[in-house]
Amino acid sequence: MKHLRSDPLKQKLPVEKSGNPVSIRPMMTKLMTFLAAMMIALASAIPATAQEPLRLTLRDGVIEALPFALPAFQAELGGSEQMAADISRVIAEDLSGTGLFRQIPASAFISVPPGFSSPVAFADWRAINSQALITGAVAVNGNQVTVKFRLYDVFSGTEMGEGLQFAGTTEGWRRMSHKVADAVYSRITGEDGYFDSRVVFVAETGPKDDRAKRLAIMDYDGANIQYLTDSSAIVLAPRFSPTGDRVLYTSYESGFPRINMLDVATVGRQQLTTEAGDMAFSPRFSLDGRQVIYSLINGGNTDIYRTDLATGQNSRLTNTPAIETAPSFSPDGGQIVFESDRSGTQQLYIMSANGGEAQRISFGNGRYGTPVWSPRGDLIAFTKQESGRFHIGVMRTDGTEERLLTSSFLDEGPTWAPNGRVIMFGRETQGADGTTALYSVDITGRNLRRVTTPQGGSDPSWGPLQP
Amino acid sequence: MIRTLAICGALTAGVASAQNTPDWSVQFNQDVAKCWNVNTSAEQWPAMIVSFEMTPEATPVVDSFFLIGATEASDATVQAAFASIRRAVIRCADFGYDLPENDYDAWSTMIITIDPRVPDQQ
Repeated sequence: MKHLRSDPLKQKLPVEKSGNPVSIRPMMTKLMTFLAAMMIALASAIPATAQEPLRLTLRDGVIEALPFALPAFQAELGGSEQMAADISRVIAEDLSGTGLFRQIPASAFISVPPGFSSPVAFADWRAINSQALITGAVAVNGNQVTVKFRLYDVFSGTEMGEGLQFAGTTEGWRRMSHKVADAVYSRITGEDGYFDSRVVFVAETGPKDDRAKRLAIMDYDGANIQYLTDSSAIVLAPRFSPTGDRVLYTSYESGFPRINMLDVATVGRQQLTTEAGDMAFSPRFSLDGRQVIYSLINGGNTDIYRTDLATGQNSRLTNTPAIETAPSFSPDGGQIVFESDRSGTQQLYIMSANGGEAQRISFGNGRYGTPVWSPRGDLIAFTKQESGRFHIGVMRTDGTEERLLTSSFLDEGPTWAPNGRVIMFGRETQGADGTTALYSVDITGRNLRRVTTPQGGSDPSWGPLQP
Repeated sequence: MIRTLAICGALTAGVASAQNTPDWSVQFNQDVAKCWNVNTSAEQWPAMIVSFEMTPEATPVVDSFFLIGATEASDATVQAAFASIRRAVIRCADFGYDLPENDYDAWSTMIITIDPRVPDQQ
């Protein structure tokens, strides 16, 4: 498998700060400290006036995509023009694709900065209601490319953060574009980005009753797809390791489900040595990548097990006559969420990562499955089947605040973006000619989008942000 | 000064009571809310208190915005939230808010408590 360069140089540009005039005091994180700080700050920061300052409370805002302008990045060297255009396009697609931002068309621009370091005519950008402005430049020299950018808050006339520069090979230009988009996204939303990440999934071709399935890996937006296995054996449920260098998946190569571990760089694979049993499936890494949890059928009973990859030691975590499967670790590694039909219907349960008593967290109508703990730790995504429809939903880890994000003939297998803001899943359409595809949706239920892949797709697993 | 602070992050700071809130301040609040884009936020912004100065022409002094404090959140989240409220106040000023000239002393300094509700889902 061809390596993508994973270490684009990230360095601070030697830019002059624009003299951000806004005073931002260090954040106070404790309520008491907060109270004291406000008293002091108010006394010192607010100039004495004849009257008390007017105090208001703002609780409701509007929900709209933030308009941004992104003039095509400038080509700093001859021959860089196409690369500059491509990088600008991918950055804009990343941001617009979130549904949080809206690109202002270039035809609306009143002026364009003549050079990367030229002063910005903020009035021209305010006039077209551009709230953010991204300027940048690209230089291609042989197989090396350098991308630098600046982000401006147009209405306050200030630079948001400092200019950044990324350098790498021309082969990695999309990654550098994603890096720029991640930085812009992070500075405006306050959250980590997720654009420079990859997804492993099951690529599907052929009719529904004779579908070929193979593992594939792609950028989060469907670009740079590469196949990791051939279609000689059915493969299911690939799961990235926390560092994205390995993939666990279920293979029917032997005729029975077994768990394989694949090295993404070399595509070398090995069968996981599990507890003795008839069939093993539904694997997932622990957060440190040293352990694997999975389901194992032994004597007709399906329970959850854990294997230490270094020692090969196996532990049985559940021991009931019910079917227990789809385990997923909490981000701190202390708990596991899984599905079980021990109550008579398929529901979600949480237990200690060492096993023991489990607590049921789903109580709504219908059946719940494939739970996945959010990387933020605050939510659990799941598949729900109710009244003949499938949904992707999220709930708090105690089962409260359940909300369904999608509804279709068949939606299943959610996976979290590295920042916990977006969920990707597989969707299958009805009928003998039904097709599969990958979709993504914001955790608010907005911005449902199909992920472009060359063939059908299912069982996505979103990897971490790349270094 | 700050009158009350609720626990658990929800805070209220010197909210004028309904009977003595002038109409123009209610209108000002509504004007800013129309420009405050909560869509770019995380599930919920932190609560925060921001002060700023106003010119006699009823436009905000761009370099006067001051973050007095915020409830627990990452620095990145707080800065993003602060930038969003500053953007809203400046952007909606346009040619000046509709504020009574004769009462300039009353609105020359503003303190806004931002205590966002979770937007409706879907």
